[in-house]
Amino acid sequence: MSTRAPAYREEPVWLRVEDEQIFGMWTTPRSDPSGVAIVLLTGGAWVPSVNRNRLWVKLARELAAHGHASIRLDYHGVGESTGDLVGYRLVDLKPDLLACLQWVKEQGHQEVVILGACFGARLAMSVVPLFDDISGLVLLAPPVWDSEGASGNFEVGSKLKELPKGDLLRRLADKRQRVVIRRVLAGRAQAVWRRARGGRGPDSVADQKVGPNFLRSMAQIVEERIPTVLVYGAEEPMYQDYVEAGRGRLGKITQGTDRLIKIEMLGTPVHRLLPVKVQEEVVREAPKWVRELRDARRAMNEEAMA
Amino acid sequence: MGNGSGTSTSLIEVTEGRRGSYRDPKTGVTVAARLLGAPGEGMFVCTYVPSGRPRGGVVICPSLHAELLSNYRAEVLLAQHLAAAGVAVLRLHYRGTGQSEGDEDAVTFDSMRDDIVSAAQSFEDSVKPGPLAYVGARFGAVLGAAAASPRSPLVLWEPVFDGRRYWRDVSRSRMIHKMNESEDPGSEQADMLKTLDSGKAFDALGYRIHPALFESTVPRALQQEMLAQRGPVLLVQLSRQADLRAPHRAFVDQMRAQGLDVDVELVPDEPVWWLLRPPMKGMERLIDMTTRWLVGHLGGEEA
Repeated sequence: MSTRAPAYREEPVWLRVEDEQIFGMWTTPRSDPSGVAIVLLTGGAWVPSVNRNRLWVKLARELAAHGHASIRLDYHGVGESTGDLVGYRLVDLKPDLLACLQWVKEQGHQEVVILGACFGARLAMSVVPLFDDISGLVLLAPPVWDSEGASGNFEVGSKLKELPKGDLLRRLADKRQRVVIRRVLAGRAQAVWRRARGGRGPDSVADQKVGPNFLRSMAQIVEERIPTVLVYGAEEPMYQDYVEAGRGRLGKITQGTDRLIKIEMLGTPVHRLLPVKVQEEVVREAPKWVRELRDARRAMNEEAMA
Repeated sequence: MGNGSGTSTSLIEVTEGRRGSYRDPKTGVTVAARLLGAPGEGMFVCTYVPSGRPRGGVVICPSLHAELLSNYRAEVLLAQHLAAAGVAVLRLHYRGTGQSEGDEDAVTFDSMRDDIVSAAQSFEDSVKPGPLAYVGARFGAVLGAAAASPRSPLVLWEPVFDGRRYWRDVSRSRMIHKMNESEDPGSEQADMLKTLDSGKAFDALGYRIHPALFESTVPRALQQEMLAQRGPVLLVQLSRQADLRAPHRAFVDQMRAQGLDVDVELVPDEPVWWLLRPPMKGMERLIDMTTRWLVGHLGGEEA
């Protein structure tokens, strides 16, 4: 085992959010702090803050070696945190993230970046209008589609129509699954009601997959001028969805934002963070992404002052 | 909370250096997470201490890699339930795994067993829980059995019976994943063995398997680690199969022939250990039944 003192310090913290205790591991550099703190968010599927192959652990320590603090968070109902989580909904998890952002700011960090994977990326996007001091976003493979649930929901789980009958009956026997199915049905009913009242459907093929919540979040990122790095992999279906969506309303939102919103392409698909080599790429490239965000922020501030 | 406002005192309970804790107002249990050991060598441990004098203590030994993540929540919930029932609990991540510090490529069977022993000693010194029981899931069962003292009650959740079979299951999971992704599974097990034999690490579904860990765990067997066992045992099978599977039956028969008091419980659920899924449906039953058994064998009725 290593006997060398590491370039970081770590301490477990508990954040009280309403009635729950949210766990985070707070990692800080031993020397030369940059002033940046990064909140690391996992995806759905009840993945604890360790993440696959300890990716968030390694990433946090690598970021500290570059002078950046970080906190890797267990959502309520996941990992060490208390509470119960039935399905992943942005509305349910925003309080956890907002509390974390508030706490990080109170530790004296004026530059706060959120780095989220998949659902975590969507969660990061969703809090942009709710927290003033987000200085950048790193979004690993954010899906452009919203769930079949009601607006504001983003749920993990099979689409109802794809379930074979036997499996559906088994799911109905389970209380948690009944909650998810009820939400999906409610969302579908809302969509049908909207259309019946003359609400808008997708304008084009390009808009068919992209969800209104994703579009709204991107519009808010552009409006708030939050430097953002979107990370996808070569031949990644989610990237293909993003490109396709760019031919429709998304393209109108992001037009002229090349300096604000950057795409970084890695060698293999990023979603699920398989295999090990894509994890290593994330750890290696993340400090560069943080630097790019800071540079973009600095350039915007200089422009504003000029 | 929606606008991010709030005072710092409302957000965090206690944090002192490498230790953060809170007290559950409903149960009176104090939960403390810390990194035990010198900087760079810290072992992540989390203790759950009831408000009164504990009626005993339980050490929960996790499995490895993807199985650490897929069983994580069940172990946390078990700890909460036991502590609410008056039992002090220690959970840990072996050095080089999970939230702990330490070098991944130095993790071996012996280092993990030694971590359990040293964490348990620290737990006994600081909390004074009384008699200790051990709970191990999957490969954690082999490690728990190796670290436990002979008279400790042992709970084995869907245990791995030997290292060789464990790694065969890992390569099978990889093969199934490849087939699901319409990729050629190739000769998974042969590839894995060839890579590890050459001294290189192997990528199993996004988890790096290091040669030192592989070599040190292959020869280990649960029955060997339990040769000195005298305390009672609970074997939990997690399977959709309605009756006890053959390897479990053989293990139970051998343990009983050794004179051990072995209880068996079947939980009708089959977690997918190496692929990310929502928590298993049988978790509530698993935790309730394990809590009752442990409380009963640590010398008291459940509160």
